[in-house]
Amino acid sequence: MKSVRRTGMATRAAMAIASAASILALAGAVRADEIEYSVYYFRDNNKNTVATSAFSLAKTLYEKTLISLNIEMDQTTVPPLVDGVTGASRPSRQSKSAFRKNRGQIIGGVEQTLGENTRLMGKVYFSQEVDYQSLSFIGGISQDFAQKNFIVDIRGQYIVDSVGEILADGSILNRFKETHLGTVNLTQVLSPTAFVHGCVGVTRINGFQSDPYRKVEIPSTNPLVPDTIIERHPDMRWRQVVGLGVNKYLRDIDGAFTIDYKYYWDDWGLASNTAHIQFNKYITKDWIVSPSYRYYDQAGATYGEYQGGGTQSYDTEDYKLKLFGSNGAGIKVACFLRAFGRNRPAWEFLNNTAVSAEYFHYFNDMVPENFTADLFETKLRFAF
Amino acid sequence: MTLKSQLALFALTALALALGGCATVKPFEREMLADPIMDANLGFGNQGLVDKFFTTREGSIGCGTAVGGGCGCSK
Repeated sequence: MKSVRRTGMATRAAMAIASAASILALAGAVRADEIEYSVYYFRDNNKNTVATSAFSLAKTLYEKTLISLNIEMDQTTVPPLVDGVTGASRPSRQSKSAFRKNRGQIIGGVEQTLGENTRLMGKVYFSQEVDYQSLSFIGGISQDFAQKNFIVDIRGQYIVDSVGEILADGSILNRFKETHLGTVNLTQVLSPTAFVHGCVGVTRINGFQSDPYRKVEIPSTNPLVPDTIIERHPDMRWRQVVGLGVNKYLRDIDGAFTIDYKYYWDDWGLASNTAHIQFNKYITKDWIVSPSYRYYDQAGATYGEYQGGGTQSYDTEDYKLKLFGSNGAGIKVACFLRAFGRNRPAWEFLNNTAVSAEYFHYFNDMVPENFTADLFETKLRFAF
Repeated sequence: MTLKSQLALFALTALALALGGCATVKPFEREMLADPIMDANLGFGNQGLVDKFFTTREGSIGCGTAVGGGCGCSK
């Protein structure tokens, strides 16, 4: 099997695409032109659902200039309010029926290779939905050193968000939020079968960071009927992350594992860390099975919850700012469709086509929420 | 994590990278590095859909592929 696998290696290398840019750079390979179509479905135990279709294209215009386009359409459905107070992430208007909204997203990008070892990248992102709008500019530079054994990738991003709130009369109140984000990724080849990668990131968020629909219960003179106020978070937040990972090919079993660890902390006092391990295994020369496991835990933010309702206090019911841990496990299967094109000249186009399907189950240990979610994703990729 | 721990983690990262820098892998030796199974995404793109789920449901952000705000962010 190994000899057969190696004869297909050049094709596989050519099929590696944008997301594996650093791997391609390590391999000294050229990114293939490709089209990809993805379908994604999310459902949680509160019956919130998100259905997404995404299309992406990467095309080399000239020898060293590559353009990319990504178009994504989402439909989010939030069930009717149960208690009308906490955890409700939808407008209270027409609260007895499901809240459904559509979202469109487009990302256009250009990547230019300069010389043998330098790549410049620029992207523009725009998304629109009835109560949210986002515009982003992304720039980056990637530099190879030591015969492409060491790669430095630096990225910067600026995001302007308009956070809308659908009011009782149907009008929309918009609030401003801006985000600056910087990331440095380092990748180092260790051997012909292993590389290590690290990252450092800083995010600065300024503006409206609350959920405009979420309300917080506060004590009142009648303990049976608590008062409610609108959630209020600080306007400024600095967030940092460091990460480290290793990818290792296991020749004897035609498999590979990837291990990643990240640590996050911010000036709201929230600190968290996550570890992810994934094992990818060829079960035939055209089929890959990939189980994975992810662990995450976080300490709650320290600025407190209800603090008296004064003008300088912050009030939240956002579970993402509380103490909790989560686990996730998934399995992914990928197939190179060349298996179906062999000995069929008319189906030769399948030689560059691959499909994948993934299921991921997620649950956290919060009480009483016990949030659980299921994610399904399928992808079809055609390289040309 | 204390500042000392952060510095230790960063130092370990730098050490790993520096040690790796001692090895030079030639282009013709990189066959396995280019294999799709060396990529957590198996050579497919658009990992942002799953990353975005974590970003919008947890206190984690950064060092990923998710960009922009919008759908799901206010949950």
